[in-house]
Amino acid sequence: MALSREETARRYGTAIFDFAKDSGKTELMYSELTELKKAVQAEPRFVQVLSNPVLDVKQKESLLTAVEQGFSAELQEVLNFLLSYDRFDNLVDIIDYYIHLYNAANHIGTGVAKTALKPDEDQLQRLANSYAKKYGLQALHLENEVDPEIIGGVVLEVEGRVIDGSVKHRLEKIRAMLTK
Amino acid sequence: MSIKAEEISSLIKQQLEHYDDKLDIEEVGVVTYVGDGIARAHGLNNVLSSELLQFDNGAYGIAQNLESNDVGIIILGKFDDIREGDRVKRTGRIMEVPVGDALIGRVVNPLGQPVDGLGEIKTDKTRPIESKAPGVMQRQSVNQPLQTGIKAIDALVPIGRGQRELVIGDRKTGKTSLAIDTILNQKGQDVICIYVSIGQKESTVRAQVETLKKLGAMDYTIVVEAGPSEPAPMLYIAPYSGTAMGEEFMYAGKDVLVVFDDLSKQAVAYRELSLLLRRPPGREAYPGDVFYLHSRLLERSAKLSKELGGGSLTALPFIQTEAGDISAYIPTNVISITDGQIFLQSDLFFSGTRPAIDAGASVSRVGGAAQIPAMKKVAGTLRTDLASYRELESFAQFGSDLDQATQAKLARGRRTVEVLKQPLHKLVAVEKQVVLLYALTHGFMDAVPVDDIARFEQELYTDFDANHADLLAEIKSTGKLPDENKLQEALQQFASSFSSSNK
Repeated sequence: MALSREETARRYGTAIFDFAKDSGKTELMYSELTELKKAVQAEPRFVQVLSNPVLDVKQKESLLTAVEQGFSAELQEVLNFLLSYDRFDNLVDIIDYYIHLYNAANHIGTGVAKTALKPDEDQLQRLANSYAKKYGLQALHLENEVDPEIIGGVVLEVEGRVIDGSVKHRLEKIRAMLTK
Repeated sequence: MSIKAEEISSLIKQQLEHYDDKLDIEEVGVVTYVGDGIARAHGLNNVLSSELLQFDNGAYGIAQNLESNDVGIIILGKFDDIREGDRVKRTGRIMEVPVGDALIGRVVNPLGQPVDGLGEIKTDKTRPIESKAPGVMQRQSVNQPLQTGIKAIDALVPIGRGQRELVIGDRKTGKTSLAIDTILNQKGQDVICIYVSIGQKESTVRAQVETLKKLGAMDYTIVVEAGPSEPAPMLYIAPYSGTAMGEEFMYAGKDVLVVFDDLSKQAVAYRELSLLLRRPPGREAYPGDVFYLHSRLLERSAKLSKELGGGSLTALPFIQTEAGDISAYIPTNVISITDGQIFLQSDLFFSGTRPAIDAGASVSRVGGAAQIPAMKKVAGTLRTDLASYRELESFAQFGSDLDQATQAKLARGRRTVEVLKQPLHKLVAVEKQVVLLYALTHGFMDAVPVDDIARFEQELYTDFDANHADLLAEIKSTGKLPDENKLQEALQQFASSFSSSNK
């Protein structure tokens, strides 16, 4: 049976993280992988080509060598390895899992703050800091999402935990209480 | 208009007084798959097994499979508007149903919500549907009879309070009628009855409820109903809900009778959701824990010790067999879990012996201890007599000349079978059963033609009600046989006055 997407991502992500830890370059690998992810998401054809079974291995190798020149030797090794095992279609998942492991090891959280109006950087940062303080994190990277539906307040979603302080939710609660 | 805007707003203000403005912190997962009554969700890393979860559309679910990447959830309620990508949140509670006196007389679904259109159930008490069965020191042995009012059961396979007696048979052999009769007979016995209907046709359930209502049995009965159109999870939890409702009364020192009609449909529902949850199938495609499914349920019926109030929960699980095959997987499982079984045979049913109880294959492992002494005395040899009659009967069909003793045995056997027949909803009090069986075993019926036995029985009851009420009262109050001379004299008097119809 083929491995599920999550399982593949977990195995390769853990392997890359352990490899980076052994060579003491987790941070470098982290920044490089995030850059790579951004690039790949901007140009999805890159992954499509490298995971295309029709193309010749030689051609893929030469393409990859051309692209990976700017990266560190460790990442180059990792990418060549992924190509030889034909796991490029899972690249983004694997990077995500690496980021997840890196964040867990450094007590960093990532999350989304949903607001009705766009908050300024300072407000977002204060929100992130107070959350990080409450849940014992070093830092929290918050992304903002504007959703006028929630009317007012903030909905904070961090790794499966939702703190709903929106006006919409409060109105729903009042409604449920009145109809009961 | 008599009400003013100010009044309305003050009412609303009053209602909102207890509104708490605290932030809700929730742990959520994302639905990745929705199937027939089940869902899988990604995330929910801290969820506990059997925890209650809530979906976006308000429906509840129970976490069943905790796997490395996702959680398998059974959905209780509407699942057709749950979509991939919806959120599902933890509640930190486990599944509970409302319990208490307010449920008596009601028809509810397995979640404890009323389905009889009689309005809300006003109770604030709840119990978890899954709870641990009473332990060794919390029990005492079964010592009190649960009279079913059915002669064949009370005499041959007596049931005690706190016992688990399986009722097994093919479809259309009178299993449900047996349950309804047993419930009807609990009138005035201070027993609360819970009829759990699992996958039975809604029209049938309606008819049973009407019968119970008409005969005044809804005053002490709760009906828990999970119809065949409900999703499998509802059928799966129905018996646990019914038991939870019964336990509330049992721990309050009362006697409870729970009928599960029937557990084979529950096993099928559990098989369905287990397969959808991708649990490995075993024999007959049932999952590996199908034995535990029934054993943990039936273990919860008990006779509690005196310190705990001495309440009891008697269980009558039903199993439907296919073509009389009691060696299939589920029947053998439940036979080994229960304290005996009542086997209903379709051959007997269609030949007119109703209730169609097969005396040879039916046993009660603990009920004998609970029989009243008078019944024990008159019914003691009935089972062996009946068995030897069945044997002789097939032998006598060869038509050879039979000696006097054999013929007498055959004649007695035919009358025994006739005496144990009983029409629907015509229940017989235990003291009358004793008198009738006494008359049978002491030969007062040997002269009565087989066709007149039913009439003999009815007239015997009327005669005793009119002329010998003291004897009946004595059996009822002491539980022992009255002075045998008096009883024989009374029976003799009646038998000689009885005129058979074909003289």
